[in-house]
Amino acid sequence: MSFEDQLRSDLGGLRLPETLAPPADLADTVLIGMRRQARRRALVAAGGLAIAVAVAGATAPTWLSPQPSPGPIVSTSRACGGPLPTRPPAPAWEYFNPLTFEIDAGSVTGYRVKAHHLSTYYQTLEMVNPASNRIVGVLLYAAGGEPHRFDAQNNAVPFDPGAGEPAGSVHGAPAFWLPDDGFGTVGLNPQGLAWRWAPGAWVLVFAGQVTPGPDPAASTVDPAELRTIATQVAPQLELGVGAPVTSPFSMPVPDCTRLATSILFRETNNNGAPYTRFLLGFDTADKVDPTYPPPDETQPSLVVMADNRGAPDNLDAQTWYPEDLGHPAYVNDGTLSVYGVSGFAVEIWSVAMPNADTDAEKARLAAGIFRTITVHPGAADGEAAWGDPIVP
Amino acid sequence: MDPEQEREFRQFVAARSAGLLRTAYFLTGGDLHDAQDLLQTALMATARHWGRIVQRDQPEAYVRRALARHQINRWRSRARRPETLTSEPPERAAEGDEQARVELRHGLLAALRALPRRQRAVVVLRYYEDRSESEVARLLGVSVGTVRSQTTKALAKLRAAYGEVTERDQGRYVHEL
Repeated sequence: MSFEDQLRSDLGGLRLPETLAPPADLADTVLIGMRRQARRRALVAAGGLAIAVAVAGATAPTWLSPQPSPGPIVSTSRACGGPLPTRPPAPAWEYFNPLTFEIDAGSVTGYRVKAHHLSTYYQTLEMVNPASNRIVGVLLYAAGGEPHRFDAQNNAVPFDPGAGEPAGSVHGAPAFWLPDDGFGTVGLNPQGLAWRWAPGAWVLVFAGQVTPGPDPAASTVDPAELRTIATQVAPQLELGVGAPVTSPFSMPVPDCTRLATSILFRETNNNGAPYTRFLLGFDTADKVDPTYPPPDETQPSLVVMADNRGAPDNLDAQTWYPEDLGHPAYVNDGTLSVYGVSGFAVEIWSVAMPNADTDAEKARLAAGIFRTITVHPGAADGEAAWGDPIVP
Repeated sequence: MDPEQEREFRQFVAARSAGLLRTAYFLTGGDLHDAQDLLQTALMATARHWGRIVQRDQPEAYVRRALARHQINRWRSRARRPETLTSEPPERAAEGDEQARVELRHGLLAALRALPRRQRAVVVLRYYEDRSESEVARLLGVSVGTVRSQTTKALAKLRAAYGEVTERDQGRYVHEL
């Protein structure tokens, strides 16, 4: 039997996992998602400024908010159109700096922050309490951001959190319970609390149960308990803190781009070992879209990502990058992966970057960007050694 | 999408999603969660253009093309789920033929996972879906020459990685699967 026939036979005869079955509600899920996307596009086309925020991947909360007026943009490199000012937090919070944390959950007891997502018009934070199996998501809007929810027809419609059931006060501001549904999920059956953290700027805090596994229906979650969590967590959050983002590496802003987002994940690998992943997303200078696309639909023009989870175990089968980058470097469909960089793996990929259409061109671009990256000394040992992400 | 089209779409999903999910599973290199995510994304793209797709009587081809292309271009899973880069978590201990099957599955999926996404898509379409070079070229939107070159490269890598497993144990269990 030839190898090709062998492969054909093995693929066709491979016993697949018993769990490999489409969910019964797949068509419903698809149609709901399709309508939401259509509604978002309609909002954008009509001049509305909409954005969907995904905090937690497949179990992400989905919120939709029109954007405030676009402000100045984060630094753009000088090679394309001259320098633009760096972007400090706006005094009235019309926008955020993607390199400045405005949510601090350090005082929240029992919870571990798993993810930050910082963008221009919103910031999100996700934290879990492993002991109680609870998850809390925070969505911080810039001023003017109008919260949306999905109605029974799955149209994204603006709503006024201030019209909800009163929930006392948080940080001296009146707080309100959010409707039970229409927000996607933060874990299971989330309960949400909202208050204005700054003039015209809402913050939403959701508490839910960590998805328990393949049978979410088997889970029982007491909404009252989740509301209690939300009310306990909310006053412990510090907002508008202005803490600088640190990164395991530093780099200049690549030519013709502006910094659009920074993301930090603290995860565990398959063996339970913790690792950290940091990501910077850049958009091209001519892609000035105030409706910055949600992270699950359109990727930034250029992504630089580093983590300390180690190299995969299948490097022997991968394609070496043809130039010497000083470390083991591989290329996969134009994505460059470089391992053993002071304890980090660095991955760089791009879409729609100038002069980088083919995989070879993308790899060359990525290699050029890799050469500009410096890992902060000791960064692999812990976040305490991290430093500025961007150098002039 | 009008009510009649929605009914047709639901029927299509009910009838074809199991097979499509299997293809997605191989396209993702054996990541179940990623495969479900990929299928959902491809079906959403299909649903948006369902009326036109049905008129051409090609819904399944459209979904399969969407699966392959979305898998090549997605970024969310790369940022969020690095597990696709690494080996499968260890399965429970097994003996005899069961152990052999587990090894084969691991070897094949690991070899697929190590391929660049485009080469993986070519392999899945050519050798799992048994499509011709011209069909694969049309599905991926590339030339037949590209399919051939990608196939050659992919087979060389698979032969190096996975071939050792099958050659070592061929005759003991491969044809029992």
